[in-house]
Amino acid sequence: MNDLKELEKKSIYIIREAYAQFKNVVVLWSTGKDSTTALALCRKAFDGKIPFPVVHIDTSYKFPEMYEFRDRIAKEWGFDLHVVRNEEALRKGMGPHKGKLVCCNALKTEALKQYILRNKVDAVIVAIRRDEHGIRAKERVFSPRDENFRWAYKEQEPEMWDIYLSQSKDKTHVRVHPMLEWTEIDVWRYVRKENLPVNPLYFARNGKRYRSLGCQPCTVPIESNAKTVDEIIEELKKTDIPERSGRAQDKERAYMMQKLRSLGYM
Amino acid sequence: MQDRVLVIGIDAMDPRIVDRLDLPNLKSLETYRRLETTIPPETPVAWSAASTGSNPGRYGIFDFINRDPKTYLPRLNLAEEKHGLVGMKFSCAMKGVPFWRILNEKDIKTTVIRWPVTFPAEKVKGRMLSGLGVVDIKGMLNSYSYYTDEDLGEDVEGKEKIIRVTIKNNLIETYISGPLIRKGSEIRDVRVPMKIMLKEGGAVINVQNQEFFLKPKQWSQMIRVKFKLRPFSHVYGIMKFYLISIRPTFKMYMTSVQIDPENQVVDITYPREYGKELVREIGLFYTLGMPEDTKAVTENKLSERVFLEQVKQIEEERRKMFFYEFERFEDGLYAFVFDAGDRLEHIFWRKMDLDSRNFEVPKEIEEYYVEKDRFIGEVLSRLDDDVKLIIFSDHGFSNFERQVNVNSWLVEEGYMSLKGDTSGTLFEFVDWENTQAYSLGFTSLYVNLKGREGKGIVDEAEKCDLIEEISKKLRKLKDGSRRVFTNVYKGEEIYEGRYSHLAPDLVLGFSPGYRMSWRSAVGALDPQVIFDNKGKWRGDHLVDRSHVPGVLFANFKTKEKNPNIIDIAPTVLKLFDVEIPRYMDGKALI
Repeated sequence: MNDLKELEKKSIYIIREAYAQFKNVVVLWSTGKDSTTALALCRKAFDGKIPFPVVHIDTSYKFPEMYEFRDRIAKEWGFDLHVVRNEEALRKGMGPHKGKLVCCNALKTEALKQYILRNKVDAVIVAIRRDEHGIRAKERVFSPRDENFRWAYKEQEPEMWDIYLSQSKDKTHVRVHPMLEWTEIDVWRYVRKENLPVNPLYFARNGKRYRSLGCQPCTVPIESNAKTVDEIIEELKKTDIPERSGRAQDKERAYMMQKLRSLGYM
Repeated sequence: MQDRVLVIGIDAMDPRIVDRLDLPNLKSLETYRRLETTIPPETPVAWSAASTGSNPGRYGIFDFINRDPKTYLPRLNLAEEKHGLVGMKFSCAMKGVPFWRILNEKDIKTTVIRWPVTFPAEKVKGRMLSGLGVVDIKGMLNSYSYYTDEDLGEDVEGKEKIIRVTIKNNLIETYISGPLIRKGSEIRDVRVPMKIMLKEGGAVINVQNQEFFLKPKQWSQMIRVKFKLRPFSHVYGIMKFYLISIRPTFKMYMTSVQIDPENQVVDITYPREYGKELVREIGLFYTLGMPEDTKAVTENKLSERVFLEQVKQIEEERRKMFFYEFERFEDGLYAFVFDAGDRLEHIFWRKMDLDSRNFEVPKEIEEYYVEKDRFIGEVLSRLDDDVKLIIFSDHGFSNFERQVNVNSWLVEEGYMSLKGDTSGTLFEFVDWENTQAYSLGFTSLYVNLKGREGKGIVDEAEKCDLIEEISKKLRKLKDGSRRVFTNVYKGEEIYEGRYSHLAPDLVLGFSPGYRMSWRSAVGALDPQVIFDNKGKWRGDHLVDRSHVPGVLFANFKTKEKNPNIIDIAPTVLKLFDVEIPRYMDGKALI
């Protein structure tokens, strides 16, 4: 349990640091397990009362269970919930049938972009974790974005252990990632420890459950019989995919690159 | 009917330079026109269009690199590997029927020398020496070695080609890096020991009991070395050395270890003995497809001056080779391609401002054109009246000031999703399950199509709209006030034939000054979409074809005002009175 305490302590430190350094902070909440945990951490950081808005980006394509969960928790925890939608895109008929990426871009990224500009937001707390995607290995706790939402990952300065670079310079806003160090299993162990509310979609029904939640048309459940948080933790321990053993493949790639570059044009 | 036709190819000869310079011999010819080239105007695409009289859909080359849709991995079209990456088994990527094969069927003899994408050499009635595409002994298109005792650090370009040496009592014990072999899961090079003794005023190099002395700034002869692969199995390679300096730092350049024309590990001539015959006549020669070492210049290992020396050596070999065959050219077809001009233009084009009214052609480029004109003069003075002569180039040239990373653009526009370390290459970082399109090569963009691509997500029904949407956005893409693309073509609309299913979904026609970024071409990202191209390689021709027409000369009248490169093959066939196959897209110019 001590490791969870340590993670919690660091996350709270980052959240307080963000609140102290930026004028207009918001936290993103999808109603999923990670961002709900982030809300719980924000509550802890400020004695139960989150002092900034909680932003829910509503694509209108979420599961009904997510909307129910959202409204119930907002009431119970009593924070300032801002529901953000790209109304114009929705009016024009944007949806997953237009292609997943186009849809995500319009209904999520664009919606948030508009909100940030309108409300002069300078820091957005996001509950991403480094273990979700390899790309996040390069993420920083404080990650500046420019006006196009571009993340200049090559220009960012190295962030040493515990010394977070939170100065935003000329960037329009900074993403704050208090849960970068957490793993999927840490989240569930914390949910169990703190007895946090869980969206029922995470629990198995008819041999299937959702491992992560998104929009209904673009989210698929996994095979599972885990009906409780304990069972989810047990399941994750077993299904841990072994470290990628692609070393031979990497050499092959290196050689292929050498070959391509042997043509002057590359 | 014609008995003899002579075709001389001059890669990348640009009409604007021709117009600017005094080239009396070329301009004395009956026909001089701009020659429309292929979409895209890339060397392997254009030369194959010339030889087959067809659009790329009939021969299967749409870019320097094609992709394997299942793995998204690239394949170089110049030399197609038969058994994976390591090894020296190759097949020809050009799947169409070149005009010489049609002539051979009619028992007309053909001698074809250094035509691009004719590697490995094919069986002909006559002779063949392969051109651009011929690999070195490692299976690479070029892999020079650079010997030095200086620590160049980890970040230096072309790191794998640097061989760090130490000097002990004026002696360097090092090696020549040869063919690649697999040892278990490792890829390893076979090495031959080499000793370099530093003397007053130079160095004595000793390899396999051959010893030669080089002064600084001196080239060696072509040297032959034997590499042992396994017991009872060996291959030969040939290479040249150039001693750059001894003090304060030791620096020596070695060319790629090239296929020995007398001991060919893979066919570069037909018949095989033809290699021996050529060596007997002109001595050992550069066999590599693209031996003019632009890489060594762009990676700052060779100076421009030494590079020019190398180009001149190579051109002199080609000249001798040309006249050796010319002297005994008694019947049929003789085709010969010169391509050093293209390499010179890549490196020296940056010294010229074509937009200014009185632009001056850099002397390195001017000398080449003037030399080629003199050469044509010599040919004309010795050419029998009955021989029909065609001279043409595959494309012209343009500048390359700004790089465009189309993959980074796709990411920004939400068509490509990322995962993992995004600094990698070959799409290592692409989240294919959430990616609609990708770009590989210099002008190609592909949809991540369900059923065709390994992890395709775009339905056939959505493909059309997506292509339309991306193409519209690209057409509008601006860099300041300038449009980045002159044209964006749909593969489906411009190609037809049995290989058209391999074509890119979109073919990008860049505006002058723009080119695919160095990293985008190999499936990698850049931090920006459009940015400056620095370095020496600031001339290129990978723009929309309307900006880079080639040239056509002939010693006879042609009837077409706007000839196209696909007209070359039908014209040659017609000169010989051989029926033009119906599938050919081009038409005879007479």
